[in-house]
Amino acid sequence: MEPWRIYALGDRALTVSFGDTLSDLLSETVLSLQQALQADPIPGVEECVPSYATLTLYYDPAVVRASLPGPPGLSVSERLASHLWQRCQQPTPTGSASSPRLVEIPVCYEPDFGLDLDLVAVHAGMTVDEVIELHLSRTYRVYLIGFVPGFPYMGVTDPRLDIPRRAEPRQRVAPGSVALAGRQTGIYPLETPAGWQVIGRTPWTLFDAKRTPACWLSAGMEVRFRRIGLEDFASTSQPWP
Amino acid sequence: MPALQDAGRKGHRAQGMPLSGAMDPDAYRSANLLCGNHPDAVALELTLHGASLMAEAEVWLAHVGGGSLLYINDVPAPMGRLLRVAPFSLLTFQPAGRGCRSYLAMAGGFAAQIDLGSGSTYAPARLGGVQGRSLQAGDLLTPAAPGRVLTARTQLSIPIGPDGWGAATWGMDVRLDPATAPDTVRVLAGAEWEAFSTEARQAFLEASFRVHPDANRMGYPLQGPALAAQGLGSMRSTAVCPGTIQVTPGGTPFLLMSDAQTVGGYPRVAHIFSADLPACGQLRPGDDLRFVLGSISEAEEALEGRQQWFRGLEASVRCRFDA
Repeated sequence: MEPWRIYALGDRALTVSFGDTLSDLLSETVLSLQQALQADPIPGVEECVPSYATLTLYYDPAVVRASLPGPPGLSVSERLASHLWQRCQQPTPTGSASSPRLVEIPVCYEPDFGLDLDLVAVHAGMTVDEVIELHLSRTYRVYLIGFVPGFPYMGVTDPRLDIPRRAEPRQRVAPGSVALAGRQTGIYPLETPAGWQVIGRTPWTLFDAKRTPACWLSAGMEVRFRRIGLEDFASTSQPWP
Repeated sequence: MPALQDAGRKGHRAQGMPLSGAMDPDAYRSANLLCGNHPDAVALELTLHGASLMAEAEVWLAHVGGGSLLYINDVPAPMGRLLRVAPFSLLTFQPAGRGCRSYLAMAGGFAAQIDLGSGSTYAPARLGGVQGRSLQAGDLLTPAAPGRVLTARTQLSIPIGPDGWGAATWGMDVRLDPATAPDTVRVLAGAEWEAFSTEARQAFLEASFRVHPDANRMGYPLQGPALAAQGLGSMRSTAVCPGTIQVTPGGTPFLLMSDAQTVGGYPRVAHIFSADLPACGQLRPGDDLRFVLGSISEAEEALEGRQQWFRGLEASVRCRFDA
């Protein structure tokens, strides 16, 4: 187990770091703390943002100053850090009470969508179909949503699919583009620049501001991919929670 | 391009949603206060570029910030004052010598597309503003609510002059005008501060950095000495926020601003004091910037001071509106 630490992210945020590795256990720990803070919030803490192995708390220093007493001379940041440290010592349930929600996402790997499939296949020394099989072979965990609204960082992929980001990011990719980078897979929810290797596209929507929640996926969920043909691309209907 | 902004889209960062909102929150909130609005009402953010607007009805406005000077019917209008503008007046924004962003607030606030609780324009996801984009010729901006100015209208009786507008005799103290671009800002050490070599840390605190032409609402690349971080090639993405200065693999510091992504994987050398960040919204490409290291207690004190200054402005303006 890596050492925990709490550090300031400027004067309005603190990050609790449980380590720096890609692991389901660390991700569970992060989400457990997030849930604990949602169940028993600290006044003045406005948002909690999970990442792979860190949870970042954004706070209003004036409210925290009023709500957390501390010796004079101790900064608000230090007071909150000390309070958080105590909270982290309390036993938090490891592993969610219910098993994580599993969703299946249809992906079309046609060449028009899988712009970098050939490149990934060459890099991995296998055929395009083998790359697709490997991508379909695992259940992935959503570690965090970031980069742009709704983009899920998922892992871990088969070691044979480990591929660096593109040297030159694409200026734009289509929404729904499914991509690989390192041991991770992700989906571009919006038309944005893209540095990951694009291998397919889902017809489904990952981010819709008119819905609640606006993000279809959230950290802690599990994802499997299902291969669809071009003919099914327009006809698969998406179960929105 | 000019775009509608408010205090930002808070509470959705866990979904990857940038905070967004006005780049210079002090100027933005001041403009709203001067109009009798809630400080977080939707206002128009102007960025260097000129713009012209036609008032189709009588409007009450305030203009605060840098980068643009407001002319009404070709006559320069003062900054930091409540302005009463007659129908069919032409508002033009001309480049100012310094600063980068100014805010035009209208009594009642501007009506905007509200997404996830905010009217801030965030173009990549087509959220907020006018159909999720910056303004285009032909757009019609309307007030969101009548607001407090209805009281003001009866109380203040600002006469409309021969040029089609009038200004309140009271307003913001020019000496406290927040719209000055800083040449030095205070920073706190970032989480990866220690990972930078002694030389890199020294260079960061002693050199001057120039805002790159690619600067935008996401952030500013800063030109200066390259800052090498050691052994951080495989950093996992973790939270970053407006005010974070991260360093790209090439050694370029990048100051994150309002539309910054919620997570990043580059080492964070420092964070700008929250009290000094609004003024960074006034930096324009080519401006030079220096960093001085401070403590967390100083940062909190500075923020408290800034908030006190703002409460003072709020109190002095409010008494103009309350009967």
